[in-house]
Amino acid sequence: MKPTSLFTITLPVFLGYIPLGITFGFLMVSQGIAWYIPIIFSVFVFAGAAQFLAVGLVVNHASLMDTAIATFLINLRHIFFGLSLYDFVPHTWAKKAYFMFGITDETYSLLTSSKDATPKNALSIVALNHSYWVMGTAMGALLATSIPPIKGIEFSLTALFVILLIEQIKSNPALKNIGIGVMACLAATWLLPNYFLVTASAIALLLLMLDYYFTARQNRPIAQEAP
Amino acid sequence: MNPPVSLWYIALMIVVMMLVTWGLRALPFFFKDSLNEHPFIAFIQNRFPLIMMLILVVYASEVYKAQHVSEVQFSLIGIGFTAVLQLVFKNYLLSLFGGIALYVVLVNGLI
Repeated sequence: MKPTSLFTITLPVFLGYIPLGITFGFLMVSQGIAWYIPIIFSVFVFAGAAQFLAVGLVVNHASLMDTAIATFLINLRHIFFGLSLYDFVPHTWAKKAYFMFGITDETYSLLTSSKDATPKNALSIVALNHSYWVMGTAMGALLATSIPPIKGIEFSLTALFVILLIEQIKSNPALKNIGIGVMACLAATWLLPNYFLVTASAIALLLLMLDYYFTARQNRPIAQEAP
Repeated sequence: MNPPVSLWYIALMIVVMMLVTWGLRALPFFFKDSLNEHPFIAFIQNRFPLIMMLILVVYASEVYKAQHVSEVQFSLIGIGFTAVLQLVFKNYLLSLFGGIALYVVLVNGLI
């Protein structure tokens, strides 16, 4: 596939990651941290929400155990992502490891939503998305002292997810799925709003498991009654 | 001003975050062979992405933190506008920039 085509496929992520990466780089450097530190975070961690959390952890000198627990909780939802991506995994170990490293919310969304994403170009999509995130971070870190942040630019991430949600609904317009998502969000807001992402993901998976169980029971052939 | 942070501390923090994040993302692939045969996995593959997108929209917009609808009215307008743009024009770029532009204008009180 031509690079231009790959860029077109990853354009929504590019448009989301550049401003978000700038915000992250800017935020970390504005806390008195050296300009290259946020870039190293983006190269080796590549986890948006967890990296934003890391700014607070670094500034407050959080323990490594606190860091591990916070990262685990905030990224726990990623356990479920791999279940939908078996077909995209490359064959060599190094490529496999990098592919797994790059399964962010946005890459997962793109691979599962875009008809142009295939097992052949999946690794390139991961690498391009990663490069956008690092580029955005570097821009934010380097320009931290000269460009004031634009209030409201953080909506870019929400807008990106809205677009991907619309594409998901168009390809699989099941009201039951939307209902499960809404129920999971409401329950997480009510039960554990401080751990919204993890709680909502876990509740959604639980509801899906229940739905699977009852659907399987309904579809099971009825046993013949004894005469 | 906070006391300076040692590079070793940050380096260890990066290593911890990298290992935890990678571990979580890689975990399902280690059980691929046993999981791939199960019909539940196909069920999840088809249905979880949409649900996850919905959760991520709510999370990213921070709508779940609001005590009253007035706190998130601009987010809700932005979400609705972005969705309508995507449904009508089917153009990522237009939907993304249109949604962000409207939200920035609203939160900065430009209209």
